[in-house]
Amino acid sequence: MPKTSRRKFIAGAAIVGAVATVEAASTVGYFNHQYEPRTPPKSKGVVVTDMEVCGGCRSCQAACTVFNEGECQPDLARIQILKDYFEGDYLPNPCSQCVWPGCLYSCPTGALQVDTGTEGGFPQMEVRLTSLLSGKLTPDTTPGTNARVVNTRECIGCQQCVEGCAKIFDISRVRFNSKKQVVTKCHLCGGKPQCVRFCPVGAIMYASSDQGVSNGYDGQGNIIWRPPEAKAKREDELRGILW
Amino acid sequence: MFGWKGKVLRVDLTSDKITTEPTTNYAPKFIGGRGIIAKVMWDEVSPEVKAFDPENRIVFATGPLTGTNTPTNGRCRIGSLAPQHPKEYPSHSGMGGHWGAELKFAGYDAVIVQGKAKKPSYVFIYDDLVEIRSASKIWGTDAIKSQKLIQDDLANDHKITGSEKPQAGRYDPRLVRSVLIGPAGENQTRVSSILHDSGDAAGQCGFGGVMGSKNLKALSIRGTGSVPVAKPKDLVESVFKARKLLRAQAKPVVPAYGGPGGIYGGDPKILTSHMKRLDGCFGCQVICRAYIAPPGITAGQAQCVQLQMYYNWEGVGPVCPPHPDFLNRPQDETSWYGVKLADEYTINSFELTGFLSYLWAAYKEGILTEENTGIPFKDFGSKEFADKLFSMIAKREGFRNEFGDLLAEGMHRAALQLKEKYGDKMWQLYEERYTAHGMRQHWFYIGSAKGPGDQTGYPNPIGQLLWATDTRDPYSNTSRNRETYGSPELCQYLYGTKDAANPFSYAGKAQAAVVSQHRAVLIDSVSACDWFFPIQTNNPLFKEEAGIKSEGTGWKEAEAEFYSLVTGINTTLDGLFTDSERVFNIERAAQVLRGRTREEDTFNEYYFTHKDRRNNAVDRPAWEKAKDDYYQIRGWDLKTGIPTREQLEKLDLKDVANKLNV
Repeated sequence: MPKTSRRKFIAGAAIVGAVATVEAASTVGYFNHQYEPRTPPKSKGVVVTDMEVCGGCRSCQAACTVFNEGECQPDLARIQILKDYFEGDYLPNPCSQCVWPGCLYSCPTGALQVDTGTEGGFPQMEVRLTSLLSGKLTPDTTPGTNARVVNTRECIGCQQCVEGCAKIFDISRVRFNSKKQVVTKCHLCGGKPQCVRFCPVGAIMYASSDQGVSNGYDGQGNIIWRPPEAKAKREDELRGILW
Repeated sequence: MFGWKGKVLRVDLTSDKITTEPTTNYAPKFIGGRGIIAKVMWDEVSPEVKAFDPENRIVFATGPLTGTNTPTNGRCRIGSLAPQHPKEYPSHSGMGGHWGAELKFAGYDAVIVQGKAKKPSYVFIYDDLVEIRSASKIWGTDAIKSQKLIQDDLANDHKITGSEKPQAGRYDPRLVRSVLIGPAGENQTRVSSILHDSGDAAGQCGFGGVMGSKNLKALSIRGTGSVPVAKPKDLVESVFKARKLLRAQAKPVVPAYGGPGGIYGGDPKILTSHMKRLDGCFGCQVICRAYIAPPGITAGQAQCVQLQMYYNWEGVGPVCPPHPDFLNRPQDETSWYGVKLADEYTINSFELTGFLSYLWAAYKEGILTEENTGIPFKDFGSKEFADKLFSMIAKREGFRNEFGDLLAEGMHRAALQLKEKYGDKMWQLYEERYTAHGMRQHWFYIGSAKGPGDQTGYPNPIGQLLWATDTRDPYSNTSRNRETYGSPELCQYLYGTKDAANPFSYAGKAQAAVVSQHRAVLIDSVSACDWFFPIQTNNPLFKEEAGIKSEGTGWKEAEAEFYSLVTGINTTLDGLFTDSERVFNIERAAQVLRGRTREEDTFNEYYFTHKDRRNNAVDRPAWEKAKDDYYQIRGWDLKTGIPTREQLEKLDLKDVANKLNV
């Protein structure tokens, strides 16, 4: 099973827009195209990281799960940090909102969907719920970030998406909640990613473009770490705009 | 239960029995963290027990905020009978990092370890799975390498790693976090810290020796559970407000925000050239540390302030001048070498600053020499010197007269013996450097000392009361008091008295000290960092920089608000201060059982007999009057310093009053 090495992760992150190669010729066949809904539209935003800057404090994981789950559980966070404190490699792994999402193509029930907001054909329970809870957005005005999201009502907890993501990335960005028996996945907090908001060193940034961003696995064996279409912005650059 | 996990783990190493108890035995009455420690020590450890006895307990405790998203919640407390303290009173020490949070995710608020294992062991906790595993192969290895050995040991155990689904990352042994001891702890020195990860340590009090006496090498944890929060949405907004304030407060000091890296006198070149990246404790919103990787030296997490520990033996930072003999010595990587070597041996590097300063002074006096100690004084400050001295202490070995064994007893006990052997001068050199409780001067100086005194020459009356009434150096949680001098507005806001702003009188100082101690207990109990709490400042640009409106000068209610939002128990700062007072009184009662009286509430005689740079010495009558004020506010007996029955019953501690027989 081919995987990107941890070293390549760092090397890839160091250069803006760098493309790291995955020997993924054989991975494509793995994914279950039987349930492929259609070629999904590109995500309008993505959380990107600067791995050289990350301090490994896991504030992002804490903020993510308290905001989305109502309890702090880094193991379920939609951004995973594998902190090797001997080598000094602190690797924040956010969801890449892939152009060719392995998780989405692996889902046998169609629970993995694209958040196209209220006008699109993809109802998105999780984002709506989050928006309602935060009191910032009503369902009618949910803009839809085109993030690849989980409709937890349709999830059967088979974890095929977890495996699908782990085929491409070292650590699966889709997490399995064993208590609720469903998976959770980054939905960009409805366009206001909390991990970006609470990163103390600006290592986690948000890149967004209404035209969509080309990021993550492209289906051709490449992983794009920074979208070329949009500038990645830190918390202080987004202050007053998003929060 | 929100905030608390509801379970306390008890590991009996003598009988290999592992049990759990409800946290409600301790919380919310004693909050958590330091409060749990105080209650356990009061209930379970009788006054006859000594620090290294199997009957002693060592408690690792977290608070209700640990493992949530509140700022600086990564800290946890460790408590036991303190081997470093001259009378081995129960005390506590804190450390940052991720261990406390990991303990909460595994499902426990605290771990109480008792008894003594027959063979070297370590405890592995993986959610509900708790095991006592053999550490025979790890015993004797340095603390950083030991963590890798533990990870290897766990990686090879299929029972733990075998997973039914590819939960990538979840079972990775690299995610196991340990608190552990190196050779200094194993050999039961009184100056051993407890290390976590590559550089976090609970140093003061010498609890590493307690772990060593129990044959306990490490507590290793992987937790995958959650800490529930009562009002998550409100908490997120509240933390964001605190984040803005904390960052404004940290701006002048923390390198991550462009603050001067070498504020503590360290060479910025040495600091930054080996800095690989920043490093933070769990959930921190400030990030004050870095991962450093100097060539040929064990890499790991460190703070800029540590550059001074093996470089400038008279003390740390601008408030404490460097040793005159070494003014012109350029700083190089040797500073890091000394610090990291101390981490590997788990020697309390703060105590080392005392040793080094003391030994050098005694050498200059011509009392100690290479011949009578085996210490190569000619190489003072070199890597070889560190190798020799640290290994002597950690392994309790020595030259002819077992000098390493002597130093391993801690500076206080060593100085007593050296006084017998070489005369009073050796005691005077000790008193110049140590304040009270066998603890070294910290940057929180109480003034009136020659030598390492406050460079400004101002006395620090609040600090004097804090030092006198504590069981350890009060730096751990009340270091922010220095900022309040000269700022009546800030004193009114924090302590409720403007008088506390004048450093040249004792007026209002007792009240300031009591409020500071309430705050200290609160910070230690809920889990917050003493560097950044309470949120206070005398910087006039603070509010503008923070970009928000805040009443007074800071946000003193922050901890109370987090506590309310996390636990769902609506309370105010004053309400929590009552809990703090309860914790402090039960701590005091435990000391009273071991013989603590008013006479002990003081600091070394040296401060009364020597004048500082501004010709101030501690005025004894005024000092005794200040103590009267302090006991009055505390509700303690003026003559004896023992808590009164009235006060204890007010705090719902009737059983304590009965046991104390007051």
